[in-house]
Amino acid sequence: MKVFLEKTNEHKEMEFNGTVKDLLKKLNINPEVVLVARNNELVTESDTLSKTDSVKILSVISGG
Amino acid sequence: MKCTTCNKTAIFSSPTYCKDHFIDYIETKITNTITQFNLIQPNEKIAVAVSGGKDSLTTLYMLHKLFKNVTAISIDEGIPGYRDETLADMKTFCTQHNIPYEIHSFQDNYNTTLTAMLNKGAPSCRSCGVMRRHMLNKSAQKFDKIATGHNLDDECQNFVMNLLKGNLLLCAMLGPITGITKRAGFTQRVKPLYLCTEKEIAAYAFLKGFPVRFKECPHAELGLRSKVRDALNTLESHQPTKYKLVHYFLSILPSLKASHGSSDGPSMCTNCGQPSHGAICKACTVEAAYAQ
Repeated sequence: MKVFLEKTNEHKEMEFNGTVKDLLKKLNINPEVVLVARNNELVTESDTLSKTDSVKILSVISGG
Repeated sequence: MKCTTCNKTAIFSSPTYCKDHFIDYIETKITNTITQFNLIQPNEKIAVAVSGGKDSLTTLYMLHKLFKNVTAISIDEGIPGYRDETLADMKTFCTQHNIPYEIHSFQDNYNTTLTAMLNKGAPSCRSCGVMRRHMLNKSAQKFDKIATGHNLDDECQNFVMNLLKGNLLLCAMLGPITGITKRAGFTQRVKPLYLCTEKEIAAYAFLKGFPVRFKECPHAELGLRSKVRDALNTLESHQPTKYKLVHYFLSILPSLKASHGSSDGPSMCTNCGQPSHGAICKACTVEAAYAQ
């Protein structure tokens, strides 16, 4: 799975199958401070991701 | 997960809505906030303070949709590689939506830039905030209200920070309409996003395709606010706290305003003529120390 972390401008390639909630837990990210988009569509924490998905993790906190 | 209204795929968990019903939910909430707190009258001239972030863009978009007489105002502090990019995005957005747009700069008003002030030792966020508020008030004298993009998360953070400082006067100045009493020379500030969380506004801006880019100000300080924000978000992930906190605050706000009403003070700065708590306002003090 391709993961892009907007806050740190970081691209990751991961082996992952599970829910959005599981992914955020694995990345140690509080779900309160991010939105997750799969193929540019927002998804909820209970949605299941697969290894072929391209995921963006967007920070909801303003940049100061 | 399905939308609780139409059974389409949900894009947001709490509340659980599809794209269309989420957009409708946010727009209704902002409209109801304006009505509930009597923020804006239909014939008033409104300035919207815009930084180019998701909150100010949402405020501008919604007020332009709801009212006729809305102008966007930005303050250009002079931060190369940061503010110039957001101002360019704002110009494009305002042109596309046919919204009048004014940019007021530190350079034109104080004959300096934030970068030059920092080189002289000015504390970054504190001096920038003081100067920006001063300039915004000066620039918005011809308007009836200034609308800002402050959201529910901002209000929670401000309330907790002021409590931690033991400063109830600052608490009394919070709320959907800032200030304790109407003051000559001070354009009232209103917060149409008062009951929307930061996450809700981020989702709304994403769904509407607003041109928001995540870029931190290069001078941002990791002060008390970031610690309070992190603590509140950690609490929120265990149990909902923010709505309760703001509703509690709103319940005590009338008595806070009543007990601190006389402290608001109607004095004017003897140097610039803008509202001030002392003989010389904070902006003039900062300007004298770092802008000369």
